[in-house]
Amino acid sequence: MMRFGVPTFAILVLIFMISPIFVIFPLSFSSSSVLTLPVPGYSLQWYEDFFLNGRWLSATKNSFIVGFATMLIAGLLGTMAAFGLNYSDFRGKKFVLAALSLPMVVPLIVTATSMFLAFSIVGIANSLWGLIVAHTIIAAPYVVITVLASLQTFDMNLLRAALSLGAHPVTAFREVVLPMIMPGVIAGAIFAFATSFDELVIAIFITGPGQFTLPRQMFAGLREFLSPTISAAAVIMVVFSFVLLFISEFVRRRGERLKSSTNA
Amino acid sequence: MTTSIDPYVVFSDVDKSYDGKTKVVEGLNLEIVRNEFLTLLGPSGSGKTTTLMMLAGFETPTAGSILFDGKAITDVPTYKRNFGMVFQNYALFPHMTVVENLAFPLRMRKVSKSEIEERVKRTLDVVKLGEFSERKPGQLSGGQAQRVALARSIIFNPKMILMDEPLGALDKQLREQMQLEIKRLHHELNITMLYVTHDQTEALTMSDRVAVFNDGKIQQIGTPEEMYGAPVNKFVASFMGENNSLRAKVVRVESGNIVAVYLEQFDAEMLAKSSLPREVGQFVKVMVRPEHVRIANSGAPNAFSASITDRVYYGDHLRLVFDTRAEEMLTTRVQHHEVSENFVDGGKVHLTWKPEHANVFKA
Repeated sequence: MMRFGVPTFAILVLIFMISPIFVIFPLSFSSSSVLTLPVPGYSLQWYEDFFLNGRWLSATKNSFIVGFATMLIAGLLGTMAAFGLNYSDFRGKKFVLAALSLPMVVPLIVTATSMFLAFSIVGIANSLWGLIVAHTIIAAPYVVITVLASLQTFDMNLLRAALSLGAHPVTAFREVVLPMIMPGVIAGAIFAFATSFDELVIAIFITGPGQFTLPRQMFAGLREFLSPTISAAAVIMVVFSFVLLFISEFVRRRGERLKSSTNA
Repeated sequence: MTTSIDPYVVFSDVDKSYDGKTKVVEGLNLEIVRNEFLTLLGPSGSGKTTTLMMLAGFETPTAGSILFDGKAITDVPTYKRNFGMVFQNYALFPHMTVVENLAFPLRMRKVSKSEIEERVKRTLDVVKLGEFSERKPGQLSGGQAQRVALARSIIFNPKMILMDEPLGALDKQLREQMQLEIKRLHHELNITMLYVTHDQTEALTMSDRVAVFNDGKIQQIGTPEEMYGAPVNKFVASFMGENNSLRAKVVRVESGNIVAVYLEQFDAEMLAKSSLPREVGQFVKVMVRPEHVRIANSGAPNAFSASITDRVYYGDHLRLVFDTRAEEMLTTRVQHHEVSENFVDGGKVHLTWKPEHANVFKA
């Protein structure tokens, strides 16, 4: 019973989790303009609409701009924060760590509301910059966590060795620490990109029509002009997410290989 | 102490505390002479590594000052100190080849490419690692890795080399081989070396001088011979090499440093040496090295009778363990030609020692 029961159960759970994602695939190739299953026939018209429609293209462009900017800024800040937290020991370190991961536990709608109010005062609401700042805040904790994890196995004597050999602390970080924790940094950066790429709640609050991102455009598509193009957009996003997943997995494996060779 | 000759490094009244309460290093005064091989020896937590870390610049003293070549270095960052360092776990950069590891300190000093190439090649020859030049550290054995680490610490002509338990991760045979190699490098390079270890054999065989640490303080500093032959206290006596320890009571003060003590366990009066004045009736510890406890004929002067509880075969010699009270220890080494048939468990043997070999310490 156990031998067959557990794997079967696991597979069923897996199917339950994944199948809703795949429902969108046939819908995106539907020839019908109504979102219904089973599809009456197949066509590429919704993909054609996606790639020819200015609104969708601009949303895609915005998503990538905000995603990459978030990835860079959150990656940089998160890595520095993680290194600083790992390297130094000070009173209130636990508090700082908790504060840094706060955006992950505070309900997004709360974060979004307060950001909207704050950004309006500063004057960066309704701009891509505002969205980048907001996404950086919610994405940086992921970078901090992944980088902290890879720093756990980093041997601080390597940094000491570099300093003793005449490396300026910045050079030592760049040439010795960074290459060793790169898998964590890249994984964190990918998380940061993914966080920004599928974020909707803040986008609703902060972006005007000119700054719509893909999720925001899909949301508009559902509410205002229900068109199967959103299923095409969804498929494109799913595929892109898979690509990101594979990249992060590839990086993780490479990092593990490097690590196992150092401990030999 | 060697206050007169050219102190290269001077620690004056150095304290180090991490939490503001307990001092890991307390009131440290230490002078390192140019080109000497000084070993800091002590159990873990004795402050020896912290002392090294302060000299390396990884830790800042809480109080006191450190002078290097006449100048205060407390505010000089590590990367400007020019000290070579060797760590227990080698600390080779895993993502760089052997050549890249060796080139690193030269690159940091903006040495020209052609000169880097030449110096790396020369250094690889010195440590006999030419054939491994393109390997990554993960592909080296422990001994090879530590030779690369040594090479990397000397390639930039440092002003001094600091080693933190560099042989701790190696097995016994390799460790002995590396001890000789480090000793050879010390002679060839004519460089000051500060070596931290908890292994007293290493300290005895390699050092010009040894400083024994305990509880954040230097207990004694001197040549290996001085440390082994004339320990100043119980801690040094038991930490440097093996030592027997017996409880005794002073019964008479003789001329010179000699005192007569009564060993209750063996109901015997023995002579021993005390560097400090003792009073009759005082309880003391008598410490004698196993090799100085000799088998005697019955009726010999300054001897007592003890019963064997264990005999251990060591190949080149035999060791006898005698019956003592708790917290006491009495063993002797016996050469093969001295072995007699009453060396069995429970057998009675007469033992003696020369008074100058038995040190009396505070109980």
